[in-house]
Amino acid sequence: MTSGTADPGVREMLAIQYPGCRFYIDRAAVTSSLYLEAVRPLDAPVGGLRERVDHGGRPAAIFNLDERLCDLFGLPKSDRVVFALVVDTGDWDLLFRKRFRERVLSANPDLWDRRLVLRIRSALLERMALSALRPIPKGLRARYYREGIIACRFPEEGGTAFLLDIERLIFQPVAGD
Amino acid sequence: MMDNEDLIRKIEKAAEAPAPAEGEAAKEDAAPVETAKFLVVRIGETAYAFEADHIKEIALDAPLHYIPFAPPYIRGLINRHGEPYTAYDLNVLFRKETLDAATFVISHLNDDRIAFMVSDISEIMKIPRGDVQPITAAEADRTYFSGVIQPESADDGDILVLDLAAVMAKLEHDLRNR
Repeated sequence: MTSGTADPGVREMLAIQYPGCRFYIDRAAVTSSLYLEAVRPLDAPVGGLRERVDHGGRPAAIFNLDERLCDLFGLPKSDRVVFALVVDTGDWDLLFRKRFRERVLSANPDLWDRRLVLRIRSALLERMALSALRPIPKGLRARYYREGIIACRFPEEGGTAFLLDIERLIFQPVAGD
Repeated sequence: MMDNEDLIRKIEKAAEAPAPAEGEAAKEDAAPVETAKFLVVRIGETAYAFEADHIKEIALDAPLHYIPFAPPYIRGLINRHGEPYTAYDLNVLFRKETLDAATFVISHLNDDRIAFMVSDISEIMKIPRGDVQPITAAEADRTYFSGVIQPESADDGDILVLDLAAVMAKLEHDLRNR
């Protein structure tokens, strides 16, 4: 993973491509990436967390972001999703961390409390001008922000692209609210 | 499917024809009559009218882009000049039936970008404001209409005038409670 860019109007984004649909995650929200090997089931699956993998010498819970996106946007699923992004949840919303402790760590006490591994198909690094993104239409905006969809654009090659807020997108399936 | 030429022809024809109410007023040299302009469309088999002031443009053959979390009468987003517009299917809201169409009436109301899927554009109608009657039809859900226009030809049936603010309020309510 590379560092951010100097121009405040340009961000590095991780682009996850599906047929007719693309998702962007702010590169700054991701600490590292990995290929998933030696994945094991969680002792006690909770919500969208069913697996674990060792990362940096400690077990971290895996959230299947690929499955979540396919379910939400009606995209074709694949059983060969072996790439993952690692996010630091240490500065996420207090309620998320509280629920994570109560729902996940209490049943799986050896898990790393501030790392989540997000299973995805692949991701390409793109530099993007923020001006290329458009706000969600006003009538939908508040709800979509809450669900973790914060902007969109229509790429020249067709389809739709959405900028995701990972914390909000996985809040409900992980934290249960 | 309506093409651009057909649409332009209809709009030009409407613009050329003098509004009967205005003509009558001029002859009699009476006090000016407040007129209102409407875009009349067909959604399924039913005619509806948009206040022309609320309409920005008409989009033909606009592909829909699916979005989650929305109620069934929101069919997705459409792309107009790179900007996303919320695509309403009023046939789902009024009749619980999905409309199969790719023509959209584009509106920019209350700083929101919204588009309404329609089967056909019928005409632009300019009539005295007083000719817009209160809703009386028992079968019409009053919530989404601000009035009704009764065309000169009884064969055409009544035209319900859409209250876009009420339609938008419905979405706001539904998104809050889903």
